[in-house]
Amino acid sequence: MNAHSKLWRTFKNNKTAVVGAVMALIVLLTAVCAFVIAPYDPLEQDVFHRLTPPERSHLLGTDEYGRDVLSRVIWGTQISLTVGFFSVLLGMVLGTTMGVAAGYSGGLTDSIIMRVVDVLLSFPTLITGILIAAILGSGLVKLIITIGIVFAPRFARMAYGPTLAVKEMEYVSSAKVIGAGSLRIITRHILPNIFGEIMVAGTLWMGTAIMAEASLSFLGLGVSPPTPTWGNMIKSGIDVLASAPWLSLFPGASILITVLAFNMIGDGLRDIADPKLRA
Amino acid sequence: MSPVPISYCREHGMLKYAIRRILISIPILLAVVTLIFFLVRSMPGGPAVAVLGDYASKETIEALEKEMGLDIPIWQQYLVFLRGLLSGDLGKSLINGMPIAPQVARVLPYTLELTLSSAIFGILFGIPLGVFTALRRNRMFDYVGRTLSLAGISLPSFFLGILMMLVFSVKLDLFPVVGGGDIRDPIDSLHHLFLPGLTLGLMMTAYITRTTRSSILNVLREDYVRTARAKGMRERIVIYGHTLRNALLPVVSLIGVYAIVLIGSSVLVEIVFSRPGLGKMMVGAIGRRDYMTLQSVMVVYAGLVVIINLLTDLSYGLIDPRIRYD
Amino acid sequence: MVSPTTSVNSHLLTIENLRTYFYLPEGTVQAVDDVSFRVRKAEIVGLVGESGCGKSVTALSILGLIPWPPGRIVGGRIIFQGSDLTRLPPQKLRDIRGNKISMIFQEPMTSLNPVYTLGHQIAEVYMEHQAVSKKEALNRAKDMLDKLRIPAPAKRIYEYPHNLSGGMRQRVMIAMALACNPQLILADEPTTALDVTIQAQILELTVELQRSLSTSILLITHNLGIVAEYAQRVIVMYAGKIVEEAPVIQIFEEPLHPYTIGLLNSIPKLGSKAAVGKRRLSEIPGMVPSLNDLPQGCSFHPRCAAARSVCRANEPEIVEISPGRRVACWAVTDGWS
Repeated sequence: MNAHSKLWRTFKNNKTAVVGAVMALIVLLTAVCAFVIAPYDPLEQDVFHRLTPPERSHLLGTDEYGRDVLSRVIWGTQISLTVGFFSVLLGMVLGTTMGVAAGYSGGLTDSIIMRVVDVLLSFPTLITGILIAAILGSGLVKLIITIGIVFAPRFARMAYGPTLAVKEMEYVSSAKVIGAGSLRIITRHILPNIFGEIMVAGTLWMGTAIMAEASLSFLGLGVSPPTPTWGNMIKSGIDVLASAPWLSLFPGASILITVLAFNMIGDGLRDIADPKLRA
Repeated sequence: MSPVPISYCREHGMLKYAIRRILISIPILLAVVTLIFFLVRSMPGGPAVAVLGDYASKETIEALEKEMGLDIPIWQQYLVFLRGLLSGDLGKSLINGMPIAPQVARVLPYTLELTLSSAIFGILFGIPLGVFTALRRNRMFDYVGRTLSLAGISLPSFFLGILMMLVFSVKLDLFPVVGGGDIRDPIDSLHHLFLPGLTLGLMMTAYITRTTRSSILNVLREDYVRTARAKGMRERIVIYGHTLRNALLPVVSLIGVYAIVLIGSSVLVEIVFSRPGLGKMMVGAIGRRDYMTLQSVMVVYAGLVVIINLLTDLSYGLIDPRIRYD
Repeated sequence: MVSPTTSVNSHLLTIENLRTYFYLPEGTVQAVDDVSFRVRKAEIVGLVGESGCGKSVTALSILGLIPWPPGRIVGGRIIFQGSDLTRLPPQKLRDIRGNKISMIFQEPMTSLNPVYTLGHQIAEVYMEHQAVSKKEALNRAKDMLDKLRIPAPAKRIYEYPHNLSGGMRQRVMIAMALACNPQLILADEPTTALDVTIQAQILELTVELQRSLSTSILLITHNLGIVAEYAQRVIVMYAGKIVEEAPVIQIFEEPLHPYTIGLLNSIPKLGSKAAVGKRRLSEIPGMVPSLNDLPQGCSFHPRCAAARSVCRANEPEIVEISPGRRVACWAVTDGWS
């Protein structure tokens, strides 16, 4: 039984990971097929049916403008997954570059970059995010950039250690002797080594990114209405919490399910990576 | 536990370790506040524009900026800022000209109350839960515990707050929906603290339970636990003495990390419950583009973070004798 | 030599048909498979074999320290002072551990708790088994460190494991093991992790103490040199079973089992042609089989030069061919070696 099928078997046996993967898949499908699944246009207002509780024609009720909550939640999935994916990707690219650059160059560049990383990391993620979002402004693209910047230091730190370790290894110094350029060394030796760990981290952070998006939108700093995101839907829902709780409940539950799915996958991946930690 | 005399502690580097850690914190704090200063300055628009509107004339804007102390070169502004920090002066709000320090002083207790109580709640419940789920591994208690704590870290804090509000305030009318209560009145304070505190406390519990559980399972595999059993020590001592003391080491350092996450989440909870505090102040300042207030609030947050990190390092040094010799 | 018909009372520990298996996803590992032997009072018995042959697992089984999951004792009896240790309730087993039977482990750094002082770790043995006060226990711990020739014991009891060298740490482990004057010490590779120069010191010290206290030692090692020097009797294990047992002189002068012969041949002897580089050291061909996939018949037959069809078909029974001498080998028992 070769390494790959063994890994796959471990994954399959890990119930949490499998359930998480299935849930994530459902969420993904919802996002991709939003156009097909959503019964109504999420932006379509219907003043005659404002704040109606869940019923047959509006399974999750309507909001203060008469828009169908179910459709808005479904379309919100797209935004959440888009932001989640791209912000993690951005953070990964930015952070890995920083970390590898610092580790590989050594000396002053190393110290400066890693000190900045340490300082950024010591701060609560959300507050850093709030500050950067305030500087950059709101909107989908800016939100992705914000969260990407917030995540970058973490990836930087993750890439830094292994870069240092690989740098010291003999095959790198021998590569240098035969004249291999730095870029070549980096791409052929260093990156493959850190690839796995970064991928696992990336998956885990999809969940965090989605939470961050929701939090920032909830504070009014992310994506603003009328575009439906789970975060800003909860925000509008607070004002009518007593009379129309469904406005906040369903988007909130969606966040829970999605983030839970990614965390479950993450836990499973972690168990595979370090079998000693297996529960 | 070992009967180590206090004088021995000092002899064995605890004091030196503490001093070293405190000294290191100072440049870190300086770096953070500097970063905050320059980041805040890079916000789009300016407070003068925010106050006067986009159509005000250039002269009016400049006049107001001069009044706000924003016309001097940025390096001078930085020095003013630093000097102010050292003397406890956090500047004046750009919107209403009132000194910020007293405002911060007024709301800080609420934030501290919230963060502290949630952290304590999390530790008090999280560690025992972590131990019990580890000891009852793969039995029902464990499965339930693990699922709940996984859900706990996947739940947005503001959503949990809303749920709490819905159930306890709106439907059951047991607790106030908004506000922080009168800080001088302990009963009133507690009444207002309960739901937000419980919200954050439950999240903290989830994090700590997971960490404690995995740490205990790791330590149980260690050789020295086997040695303790080989010596015939009773199980209670093996678990709560040998295992727990070592298992808590990584948990303690992570508690510091989680406390910092807690500070971030407290912003959201303060908004949900309309509770006075640094978070509410900060978000309000952003909305009004009052970047002086924003800056000062972030500096206070920075101070809190540095103190938490320091406390974590110190507790770690207290528990793990190996660290002090660094 | 003591004849096998001597009554059980002169034996301190009697192990009968012990089986300890580990249930792993890859398969069931029969780490100890039908092992029987005895240890007498005040004797040093060497238990030798390569890594993975089951010698450590045997020792752990005696004290009931096999972790479940994935391992457990599935059969056999371990008789000590009239009781079967495998059937003892946990409380009684704990009374024996560290008290009447104690164990020394291979890696002193990881076997000592890093956050407790050395004094505390020794003292707690006294507190647990002899119900003395903390102060008194520390005092005894200090005396024990002194007996083990650790300098400045009064200061040492307040120090931590990481303050000490490997040899010192192992002395602390021995101190913990000897604290309550046990009747039997299970020493699992006690010096393997130490420098060669320290090894001799530690062993000499241990044996000296052993003699003065009349303790028995089950000396588990893969190092035949140590066994030759200190043990009175030797038991050889391979793949979870005992293959040969004899008094130490006979094992070295006249080994019977092909595996034992192979082991002895792979040690360079001073003055031998191999040591002078004139002849290659002979090694046993092949590899130790993985314990969840043992060969049919005699576990050693794939590597044995004398293997015949009976070896491939049936597992050899262990036979006592002369007083105190047992072998499990068809070649020997059928008389054609």
